[in-house]
Amino acid sequence: MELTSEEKKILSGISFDAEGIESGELNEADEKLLMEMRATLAYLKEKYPEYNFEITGCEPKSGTARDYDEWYYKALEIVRESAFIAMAVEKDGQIEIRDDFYGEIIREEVTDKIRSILGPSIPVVKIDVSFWEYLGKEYSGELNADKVLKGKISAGNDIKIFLDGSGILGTEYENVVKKIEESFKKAGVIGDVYVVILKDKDSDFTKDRLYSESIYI
Amino acid sequence: MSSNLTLEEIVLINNLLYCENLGGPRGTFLSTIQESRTIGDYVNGVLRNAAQIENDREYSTGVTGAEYKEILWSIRPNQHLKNIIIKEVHYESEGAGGGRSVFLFDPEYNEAIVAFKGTQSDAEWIDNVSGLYVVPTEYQQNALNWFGSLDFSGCDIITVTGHSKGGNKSKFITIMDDRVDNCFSFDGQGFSDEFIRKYADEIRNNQGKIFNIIAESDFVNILLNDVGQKQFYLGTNFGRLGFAENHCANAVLFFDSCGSMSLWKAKGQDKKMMDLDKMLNSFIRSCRMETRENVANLLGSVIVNAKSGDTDKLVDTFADEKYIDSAAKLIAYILKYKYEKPVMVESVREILNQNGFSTGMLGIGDFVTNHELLLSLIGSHPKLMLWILKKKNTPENITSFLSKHMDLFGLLVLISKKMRRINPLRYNGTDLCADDEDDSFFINKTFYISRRKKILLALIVVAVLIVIYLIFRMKVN
Repeated sequence: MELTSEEKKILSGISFDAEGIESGELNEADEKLLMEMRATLAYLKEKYPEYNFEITGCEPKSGTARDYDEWYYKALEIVRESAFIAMAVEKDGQIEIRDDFYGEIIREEVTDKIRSILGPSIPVVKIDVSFWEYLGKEYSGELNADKVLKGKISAGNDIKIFLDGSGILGTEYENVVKKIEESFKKAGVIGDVYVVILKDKDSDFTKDRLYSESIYI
Repeated sequence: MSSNLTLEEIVLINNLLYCENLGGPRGTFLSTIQESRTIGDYVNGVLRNAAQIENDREYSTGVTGAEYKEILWSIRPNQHLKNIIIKEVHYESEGAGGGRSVFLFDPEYNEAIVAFKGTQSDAEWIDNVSGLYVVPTEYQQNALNWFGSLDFSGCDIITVTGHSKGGNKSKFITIMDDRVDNCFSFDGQGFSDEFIRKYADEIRNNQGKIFNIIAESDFVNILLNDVGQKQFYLGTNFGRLGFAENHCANAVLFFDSCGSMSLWKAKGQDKKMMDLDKMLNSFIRSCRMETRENVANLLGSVIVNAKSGDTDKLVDTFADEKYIDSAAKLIAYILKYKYEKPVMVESVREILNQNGFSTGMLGIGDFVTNHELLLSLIGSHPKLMLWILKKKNTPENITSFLSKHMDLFGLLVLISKKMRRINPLRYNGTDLCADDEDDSFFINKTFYISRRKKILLALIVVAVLIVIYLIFRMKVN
């Protein structure tokens, strides 16, 4: 089998058969992993044609309690220290792949939507939106902020809101969190919401916290 | 040690690293989505869905949902641990490692805590054993690069920790980066002789910061030469995986009736592991550097199959064409070692037995030792060999095992040939220290004569004596 140098490098990291990989004479297990790696790359390219992807590593399921392989990848257009992850599982001879990259596509739209729901009375410093679920190619075209935020597409919304404590005067922090919860409920937003109140807008997000609370909607 | 974390807290953090999908995807601790939350937020969030965590299901290798709930409940009353903030989660994006790690921040003491997870998959062993022939390994270097990219401004103390391969990475970083104040390696493997020699100065400078937390029967820490202070702890785990669970991160956790967790110091390392450690060290030292990669891959494959308790796969690995030479050398080494250190071989036998391996395979060692000459003469004719063995009333379990694995005969012949050339006492098996003198690194210069040579010498002596006697008789007559 013909393998690219990148494929050889990835496989060498997850297989003991260095000689087989170098010569292209793969054993059955490595051949399956190679097929899965290629399928994952093809899946990502097809689902997100505007981006260029590179598989950077793999944690195979063998020896773990998982029933799927985790493929680590990066998108060349996005500067990020951590890799993205795609999950590949074999079902009835077919490889099913799900990914976390869709979050990159809709993050900005979702963040803007949340900002408008909260309105100007909440002194927002930053909003971080993430999604717990890995979604497959069935959601390639129809993802939009409204469907995701309202749970019509079950993405596992995780919303972190950092507030400027110096802008919250004359009210308890608990009341601010309550107000956020009510705004989200009224707008039909579902998900896990984590509110952190910082000393002021220039505060360090880790060191200068006044208050934090989780709400589950 | 200047860390404000207790050893219990360090071990709990290392257990959190393995939490995956507890009650759903939110139950994964090492997810970038957890960034900015505190450990307390994570624990409360997971326990909120405790009903979704299945008690009997394994959520990471060897650790069940019930055990994870116990771990999380024990964190709940610990306000110090709960206040620690998950600052950054990292998925390795270069190289093929796929390792995960986390940068935590303790706001009470301005302490940065960088923790590395050991990968759980079988592939972990590829990197674990690559330390035998690569200095440093790609994954060690990746970990160091990421550590170098972290912003520690405002942190008064920097502590690194990790379990298994993560423990090795944390030791590596401590050796290479003088900024680290404390290192708590948990069941992490050591470094090769070549590494110890290459970085002797760095090790001397920083080894005082390293503390190794080790389960008394853990089998990963014994790989290669350890660096830093060591403390062994009692182990608790003998679940589905049996002996292999000694390496699980929760193996050292004891819970009282109130759910509080504690560690219990052991008197020392399990004797079996101590023996195995020395034998592995001396064996690795006996292998030339250019053959080490093959030997390392063989060892990795053997450990992976031994962990799974699959006798057939283990035999296939030994008989595999690409490993056969290294496998023969390893087995011949063990068998020769048996002459000098019979207790050690008993230790190996006990470990394999505990993992449910076929007793037929265990008897093969004795078989080769007892039939060394026969094997080298007619071992290439398996059917004839089996016929002779049956005639000699060899135990049924051995003959039936060999009948099932005829491809093993090629390996057995090779072993019997290699046994003649191996001196198991040539290389010292004790861990190498950076402070050691250069010439104590390798060879135990004992004069050694193999059993075959001893017999040959005895025959020559007898022959010479007979000749002298005959000459003397002739002269007398």
